[in-house]
Amino acid sequence: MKFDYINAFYSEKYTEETLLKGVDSLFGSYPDLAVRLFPVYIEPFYWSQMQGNNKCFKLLKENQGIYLFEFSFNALVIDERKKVTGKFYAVKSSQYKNIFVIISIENSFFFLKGLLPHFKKAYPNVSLTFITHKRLKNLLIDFRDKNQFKDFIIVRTTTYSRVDKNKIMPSVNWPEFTLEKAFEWVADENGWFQNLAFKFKRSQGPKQEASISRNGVIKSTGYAKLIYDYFMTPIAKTVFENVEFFGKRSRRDNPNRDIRPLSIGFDYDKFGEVEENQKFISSMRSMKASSVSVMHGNPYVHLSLFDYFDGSTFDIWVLSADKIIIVPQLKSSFQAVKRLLNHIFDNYAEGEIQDYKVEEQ
Amino acid sequence: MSSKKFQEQIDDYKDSICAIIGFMNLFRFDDNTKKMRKDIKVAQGRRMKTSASNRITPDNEVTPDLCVQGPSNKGVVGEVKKSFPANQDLWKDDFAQLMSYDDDLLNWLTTSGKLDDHEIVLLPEQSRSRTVKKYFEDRNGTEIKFTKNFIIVEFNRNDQAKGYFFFRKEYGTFKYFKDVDAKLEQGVPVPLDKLFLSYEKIKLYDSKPPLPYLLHLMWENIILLRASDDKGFSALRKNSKLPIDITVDQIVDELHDNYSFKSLNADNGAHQPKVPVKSWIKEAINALISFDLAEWKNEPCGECTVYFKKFGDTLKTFIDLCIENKVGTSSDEKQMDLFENKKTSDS
Repeated sequence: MKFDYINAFYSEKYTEETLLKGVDSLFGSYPDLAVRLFPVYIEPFYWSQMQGNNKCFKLLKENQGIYLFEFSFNALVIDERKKVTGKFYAVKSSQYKNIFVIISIENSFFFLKGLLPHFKKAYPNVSLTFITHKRLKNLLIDFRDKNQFKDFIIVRTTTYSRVDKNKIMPSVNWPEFTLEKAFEWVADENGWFQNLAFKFKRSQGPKQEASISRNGVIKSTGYAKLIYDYFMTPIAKTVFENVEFFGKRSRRDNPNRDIRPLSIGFDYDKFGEVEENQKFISSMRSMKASSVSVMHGNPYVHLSLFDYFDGSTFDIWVLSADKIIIVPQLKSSFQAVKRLLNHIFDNYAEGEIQDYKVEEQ
Repeated sequence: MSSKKFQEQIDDYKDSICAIIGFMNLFRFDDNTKKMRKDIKVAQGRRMKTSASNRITPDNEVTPDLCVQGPSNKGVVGEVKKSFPANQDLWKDDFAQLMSYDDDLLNWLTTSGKLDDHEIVLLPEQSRSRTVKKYFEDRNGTEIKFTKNFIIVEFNRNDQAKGYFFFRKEYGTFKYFKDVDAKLEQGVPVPLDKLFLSYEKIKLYDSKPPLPYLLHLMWENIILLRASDDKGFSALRKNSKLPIDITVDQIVDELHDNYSFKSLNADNGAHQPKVPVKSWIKEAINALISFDLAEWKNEPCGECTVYFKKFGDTLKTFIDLCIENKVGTSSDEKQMDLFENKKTSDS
């Protein structure tokens, strides 16, 4: 009878480093094993709720910021409603407040039908990130080059293309492209990768496969420690930076009720043609759970947007050809700012996010 | 009234706010330091007292769109007229209003409330400025008389790739603000990407806004804000309603604190009217009642319940409801006797 390494794995106490090494040691014994990880922001009160045993979460143990949870959910399994249970780790960041990396070595059903959707549904108390294309490309290049993965091929992509005013076309492709070629191709398609799977290997060693999603979810069949170091650590930092940068933008959080706008800059005249205004407005109208009102549509754009998840509101302006300006109003959470930017990037175009300088009024 | 007409009214209202701010900033902005001058004080809609010898409205109050007070005890009062009516018979009211400022007005931002002198400026929109100038010149010294210095400065919103408000002198000379006069001689563009930052904090002035615009502002900043604190907010279905108890005073206070000229006025004491005024908010609540979105709990005390709903396009919804219920659709409201209008607005 084969020794149950998984059970033994869960029974150990870990530090951040030994946990990932522990996962790596399992790959040898379980060829089909995959680790799934994603960084996440968790509101303090929600984190307390997770730790106080409830119907979904049961905290099994904690050691030096490494929390092992049991998670249960009900699901249809072969036409029968069943309770599905599995475990996962939440690694609390020592550097970044309220940021965690969720790590699971359970099967894909547990992760994709239970754990990940549960965290997504907990929005805005739990917030994943979104990775811009530029950032995604840089992360992948770093991972490939610094670890000397010579045979690095993009093998599968889930792509969304911005084909029309408010039409986004999904497609799954098996391109077998190099990294650079894949990003050139998706730029030509005016699209973005929702998910990108790649194979990689060192000159010595087996070929591994991993995938990364725009929201920072990674699956890998090997090199857990490297994946953690090269993707989770920097993305967790981005999640934290976004909380800081997008947070405290609401007028009621600022002295004198001042405004703290953001801009999305383009390195070309994105709004060079007037028709572009309508295209942008249409893409904004497709934002779920929101009210989008056109205060002015042509030749400049002024929109008013209400976010129905948490009541955040924004004014959005296009006053020059190369930028969109977002002005958070009285209430504006960092989650809502992130959701809005995410929507613009997904449905309209990606640009450079910056503080919009407000001079003395 | 059509949806397009409402949109035009909203546009005009926003443009008037930007024109007032933009024009005030011509005086406030120091071209050398690139900063706002602290020694220039401004006020919007300030209650200025007229003298017993005022030819139009003696011993009364007038509320100019803008007051600018310079360091040498000299000032400017002015009116911004984005939309002069097509019917020129109605223009005499506008000029009568300007002539009511031709007086030693009181309530300036000085200890005595007096200034040595002030100039009077009319800011018509460019499309009408020449006709307005001719109208004035044809009647100057007869029907229209100014003892104080009178200037006409036209303005328009230029909708080129990078939009701006453009101000140019059409008639007269500012004798106390020569630097501004020199700039206005050639015309001054004020970029929209600077002006909108002020607009973001000033979405109301002392002229009654189009009803859908006011309803949208209330919905966003008062009703939605409170509804979102309710536990059931995020799960609220599209056709469900969430009751929000509120008073007219609360709405007035919060909009005044966050969206009026309060942030720009040099003084917000007794001589500054509180914008929005109660009557506008009462009218807005009555409109919501006619839309089945509110009810009075105690009307004399201004207590009501507003039923929050999630709309896909809140402004369009209010425009459509106003048209359907025939509220806020009186297009000639702004052309009524402006003195009457401004005075009653405080009631």
